[in-house]
Amino acid sequence: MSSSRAEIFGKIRQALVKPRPVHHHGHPPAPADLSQLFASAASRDGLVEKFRREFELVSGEFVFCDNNASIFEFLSQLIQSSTTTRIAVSRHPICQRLSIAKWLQDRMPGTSLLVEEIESENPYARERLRNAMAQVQLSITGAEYLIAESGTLVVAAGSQASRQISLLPSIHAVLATADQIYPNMADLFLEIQKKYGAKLPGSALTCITGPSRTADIEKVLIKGVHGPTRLITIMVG
Amino acid sequence: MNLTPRLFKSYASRNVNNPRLRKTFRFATHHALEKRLQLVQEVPEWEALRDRAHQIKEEVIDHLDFYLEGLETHVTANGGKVFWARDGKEASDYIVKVARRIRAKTVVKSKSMTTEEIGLSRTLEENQLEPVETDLGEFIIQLAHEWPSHITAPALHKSRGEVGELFAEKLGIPYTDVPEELCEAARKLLRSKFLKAELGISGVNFALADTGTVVIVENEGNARLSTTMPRVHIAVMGLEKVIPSFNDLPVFLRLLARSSTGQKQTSYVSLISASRQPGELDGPEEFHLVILDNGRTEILKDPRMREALFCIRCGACLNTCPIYQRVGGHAYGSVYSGPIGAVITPLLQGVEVAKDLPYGSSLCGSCSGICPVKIDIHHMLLWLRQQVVAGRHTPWQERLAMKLFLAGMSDSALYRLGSGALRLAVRLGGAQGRPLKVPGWTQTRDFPPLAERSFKTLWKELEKTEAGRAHP
Ligand code: SF4
Repeated sequence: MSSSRAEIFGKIRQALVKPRPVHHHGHPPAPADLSQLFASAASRDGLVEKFRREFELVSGEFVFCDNNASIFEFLSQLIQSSTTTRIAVSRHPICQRLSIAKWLQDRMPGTSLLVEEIESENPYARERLRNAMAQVQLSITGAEYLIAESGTLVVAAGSQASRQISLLPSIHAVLATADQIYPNMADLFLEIQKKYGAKLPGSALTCITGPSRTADIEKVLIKGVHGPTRLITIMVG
Repeated sequence: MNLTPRLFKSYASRNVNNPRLRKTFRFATHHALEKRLQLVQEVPEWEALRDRAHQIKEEVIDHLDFYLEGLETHVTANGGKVFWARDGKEASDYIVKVARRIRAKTVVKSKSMTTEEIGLSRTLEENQLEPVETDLGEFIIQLAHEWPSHITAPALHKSRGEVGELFAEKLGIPYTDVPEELCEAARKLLRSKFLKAELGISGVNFALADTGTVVIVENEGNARLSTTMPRVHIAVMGLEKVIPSFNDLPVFLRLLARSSTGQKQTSYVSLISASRQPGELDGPEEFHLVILDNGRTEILKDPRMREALFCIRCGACLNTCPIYQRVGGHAYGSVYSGPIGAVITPLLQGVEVAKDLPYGSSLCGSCSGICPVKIDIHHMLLWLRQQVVAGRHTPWQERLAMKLFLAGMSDSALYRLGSGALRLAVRLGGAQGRPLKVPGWTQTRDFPPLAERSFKTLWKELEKTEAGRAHP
């Protein structure tokens, strides 16, 4: 194995002795002018509206809730209209701050599945969760960041404590706040790198732009393939 | 059809005469191009983005060893395992070894051109493993035992009726040609595979050297499932997929989805840096990254061809290519089709094997014009033609004709003699004013009719009359 490595590196170095005919300057691209490449999507005005427009263009559903009561009212309606009894709530700080899990337990005792009860370092518990999660119809989670230009939600495996929770259920409702919105991906990534450097948080970050989709059969657009069919942003004011 | 570029000419002429296929490819490619154009027009920085993407790729490829070392260091620091594979066999053997160790039976795969390139599924089958393609398009062609006809839409060539028949036969479901129902049937079956698979294999769109992150771009969610549900995740990448920094990713992501599917962003972009971390409730326990050479360092050797390694596999050059639109992806006899396929296939498999591919181009340059990383595709096709000729892979008649042509073109006396003789022959044959027939050449090309008098003669006459006019 290590001989393969040595051989591959040997070949690369030997090949690179010959420069390419077009001369270039060899400076690593400076991150500073990254923002220029996104200038047309850099404005910070009306970010909520912009996000909403783009998010709806990719078939996302957007609701604005300016107080806790309206959040719970919306969730009640969602649960009722989708006749859902299997619900998962993530460990994201916003879910904890709003005590979503507790509200759910009070409202629908015994019917919800709560990630909170699972002990993460117990493999049997994880296996149970995995099987249970496959049956969940609605998940309520929190976003890390939002990107206005493309209507994208960024979720983190770390703070949700789960990758599946934003993937297996057929309805995914995401709680977010306006201060999490960045105009474009370049701004956001510069911010993330400033904060975390070489060690990105958790095992995975996922950018989600609309429900899962395919156009593999005669370019017919079908929504909801392996991931959620409905994606909802609940903007908490 | 067999997966060999040797038969490009006969495959191409067969496909050109298949109206159903022509219609399918025309519709699909135009559809993609229209959606792309709409979104590209909304981005005033488009050209600057392309320049930057090209510049980043230049930087990486010219210092490939440096960035690959960085990638290895960071993946390892994050707890992942890096495996270097000289060729497809080494990569496949390693994957089989891991599968054996964890006693895997079912292996879920998300769409990856690199694993198509090395025929991984076949190797897994030979080793009593059950590889399951989970991208809908890949799933369809796996059932049909075919190979992808487009880089980003592998089952582009299949009509809904064909998919319906295929599913009825192979999955035992009642025939339907409703895409939604077909998709649902596949989804149900695949969900059960995801839940039982022990090993998940994915490709890699970008690998970030400064964070040790692999980036996977998709729409269906099958790549997320393949990299989340099984106990072990192996990502397979060609060694050119590394980019320097996390900060470079936005440039490529702003270009990629717009170029390939006409979306601002695909439904999912996963940035995976590690296996399950403490405190996380799911995700694989092991993460492996297989970095594959398989001929890429050979491409690196030729400075003029190095740019071929910039490709981000968006598929835009396929869509815009007048040849691809007409002959379809399978004609190329390679998993990489279209203009970039016509460059990469000869480079990976040898010009003698794929000598006809570089000629499958009108040299219109549409591919280079659309490429989001500004690869000079059509000039590379020309250089490859040069290599085909230099390697004496063209027929002797053509070589002879070209020698004569060269001689005639570089000596005016010879030229006059030759064209005079040709003109005489045409007149004797009574073929004035008609296109010439040259066996083997004019079957697929025009040889325009010879002018009755040469330019030189015309010029002389003109000079006379002009002179007459100037000095009456
Ligand atoms: S060569 Fe350029 S246009 Fe063609 S697939 Fe690669 S990146 Fe896309």
